[in-house]
Amino acid sequence: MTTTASPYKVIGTRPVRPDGVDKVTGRAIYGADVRLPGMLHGKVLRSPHAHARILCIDASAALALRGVHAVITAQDMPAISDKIADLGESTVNLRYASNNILAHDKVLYYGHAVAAVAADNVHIAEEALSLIRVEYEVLPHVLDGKQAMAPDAPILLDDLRTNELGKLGDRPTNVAEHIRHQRGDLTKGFAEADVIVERTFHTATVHQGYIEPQNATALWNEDGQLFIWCSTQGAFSVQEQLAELLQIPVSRIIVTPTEIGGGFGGKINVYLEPLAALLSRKAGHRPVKMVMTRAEVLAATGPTSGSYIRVKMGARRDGVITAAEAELIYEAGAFPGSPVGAGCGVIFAPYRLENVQIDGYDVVVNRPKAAAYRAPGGTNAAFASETVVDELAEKLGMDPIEFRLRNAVREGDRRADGPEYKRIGLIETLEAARSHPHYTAPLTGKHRGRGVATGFWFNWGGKSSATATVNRDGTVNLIEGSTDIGGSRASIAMQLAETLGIPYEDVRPQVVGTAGVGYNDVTGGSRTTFGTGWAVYEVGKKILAEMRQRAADYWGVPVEEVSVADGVFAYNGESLSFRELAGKLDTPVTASASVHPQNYGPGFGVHIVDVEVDVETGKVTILRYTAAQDVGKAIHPSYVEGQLQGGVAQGVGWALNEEYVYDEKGRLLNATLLDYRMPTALDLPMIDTVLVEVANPGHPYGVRGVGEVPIVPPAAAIANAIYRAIGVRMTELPMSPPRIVAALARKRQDGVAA
Amino acid sequence: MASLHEVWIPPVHRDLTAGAERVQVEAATVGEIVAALERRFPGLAARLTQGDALRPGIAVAVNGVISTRGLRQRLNEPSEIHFVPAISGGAASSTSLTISGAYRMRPPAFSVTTTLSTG
Repeated sequence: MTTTASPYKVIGTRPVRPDGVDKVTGRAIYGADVRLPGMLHGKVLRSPHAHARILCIDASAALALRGVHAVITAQDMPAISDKIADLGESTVNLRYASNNILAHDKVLYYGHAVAAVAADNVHIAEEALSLIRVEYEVLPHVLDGKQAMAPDAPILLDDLRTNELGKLGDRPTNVAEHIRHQRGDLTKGFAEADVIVERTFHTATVHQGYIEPQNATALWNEDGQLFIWCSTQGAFSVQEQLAELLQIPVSRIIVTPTEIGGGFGGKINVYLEPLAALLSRKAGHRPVKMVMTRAEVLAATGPTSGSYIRVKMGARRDGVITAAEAELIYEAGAFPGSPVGAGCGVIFAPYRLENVQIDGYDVVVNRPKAAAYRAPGGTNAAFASETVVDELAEKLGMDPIEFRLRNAVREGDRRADGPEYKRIGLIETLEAARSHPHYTAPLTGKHRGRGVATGFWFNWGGKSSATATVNRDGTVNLIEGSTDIGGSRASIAMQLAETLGIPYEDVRPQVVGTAGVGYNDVTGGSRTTFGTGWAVYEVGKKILAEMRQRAADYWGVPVEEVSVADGVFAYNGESLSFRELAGKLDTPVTASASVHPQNYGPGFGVHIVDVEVDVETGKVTILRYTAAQDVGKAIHPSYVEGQLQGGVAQGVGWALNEEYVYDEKGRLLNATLLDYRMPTALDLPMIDTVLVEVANPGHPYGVRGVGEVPIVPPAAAIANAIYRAIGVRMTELPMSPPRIVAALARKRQDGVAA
Repeated sequence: MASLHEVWIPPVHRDLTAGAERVQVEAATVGEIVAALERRFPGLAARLTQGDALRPGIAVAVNGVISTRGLRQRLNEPSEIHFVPAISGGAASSTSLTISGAYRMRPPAFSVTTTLSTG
């Protein structure tokens, strides 16, 4: 459903995606399909300990094994200085990144890479791993963020000092960063409140859960040229990371992205690429392919942070929130860089607040280094704040959407960190949710409840480049560098077609690697349809300008006398269609553009969910789900709806089942998809969507990013629905059957809601 | 041409500004703002900048828009300035530095045997 009629010819339609046939026929080339002559296979030896000092590594027996061609350890990695690299959807200290790729002096989590082997085949490589002897001095470990902040906690990184926006602490710590946003007077705000709710929440470590495991193939030629084929959200980001980690010029690295089987933020940091490269060089410049197992993906690639979040909010009887306070502790994993900064931005983003304080702590623990995961940090934060908001509304006897509307931010209101919002669509989205039939549909039956929650995401612009060439038959080849994860080949091609005034089918998009197009930031931050859409809009304008000049030359008149509309060039009663003019070109027309747009509009979503709780087993069944979101302008509505549905599906998994389980020694116990329980189609109803279109004035077609907002509200919406179903406020994720049963038992025992 | 801007002091740095949340500063660039702040509140520049750039992990928002030019951002009209944690990609984390930017990675401390065994 859209709320405004589209003035466009291509934008807003639902054409078939360009990569559809290849994918459904199995012809699409993924990273694991890459095969090169003389190719070797690499495997990684990983730490069995959560925290240990490496005393020595003896690889002689592995090297003696027939078919083994190279073994590498951290001693094969160049020394790296402290340097922050912006990876697009996250930043990383490259020294830590190097240490994460191969452990230097200590292993810091179960699964931390220690050594890697290249052999004739995977079986020999695996056998070689078993022959590498590593001597460890096991150290005390800490898995929990709160415990890691304690004064007597084991210190993971001796040189780490707390950073407070440039103010550095003076003692060893596991607290890498403290963020504070503060405005107004909290004491005064809470004094004005008639109702105050304060709760503490805990959320588990969860994984992005992309279906395709990490993979990389590298060929480091004798002449120093390094070729990489891999599954990544950003070929240029891989190129930059490799240049820094391997200390070689960017120009010596060519990265070709294969099709990608999901990323959700987890395929931005490199893991295997540097290993495959080093193994290739050490193995006599033979290509080396590496593919992770699912267990490796879960144990050693970026999950997102587990967290503790305390939220306190107060409101007057008239429904106005008077004060809001939050403290967020996010587990970064073994190296700094949890998404706590984003969590601090998300937690109260939907609300107009005069008195607010938010403190965020980035804490290292002996878990895999957190990586970006779809609206990183947002789901945790919204679970906490939206549960408290729901409880405030309940205590005030107000409808939860009405309460939110009364406090909702609009253009000109300040965010907690200070700056003012530009044009946003929260009000419109709340109203769309309130007027949706789902919200007022009868919900009968025992242990059933309906919950709502809102969510916010910043979105991002980033840098994009694109090139297009006009063919003699009037079709257009579009070369872009944005990995297509969610249908962006179609949404980008549609914007070029719209700009040129030609049919979508006349634009043939192709995603290429670093050698084939100008720089592109990663596909992430919900930026691609916005940012790369901007780039092709500029490309389209350049092509139209050039074609107009060619038409003027053809007619022998000044260019100003040629008009252009809907792909038709006209002069004095004569006209040439884009296709006709293309056929008359004696010199090709090609145009490129690079952009770095800043006016990306943030997005808001409002979700409604009905659940049923089995009070015997604790199982929660999702009965009905509706996601409304301000999407700016839906270029390809089907793919926008798909983004909303996909975000909800992941959010349901996060809410109900997914969590990392470790034993007392810090070893991950559930590194399989049998034991790490992601939702399947059987766990989900049809997810209805409402596309609210409040155009972003910072984009020629009004686009806002859409991919991340929809994972922010689900956990809170489901928690609020569970409360209405069984009268228990859930404060821990996942809200799995054992936790539901335990909460019900506590409720019975206490005789009051937990 | 310098104009007058409203600069919001980050909460963690208000220990240097006697608690002041906002100050008026006349400047033509963000760099000039930092210099002016340093004159009034010594020590603030060292927290916000490193060399001739903003510290990693810190971004500047001018009238609500994150600047890609950092200290070199020109201020052609009276503006509202916020120094905020850099949230990369609208998405994830700001990342801490360690003791100093000069720290270099130690060579791995462990010994490695990679010669062929005789067995």
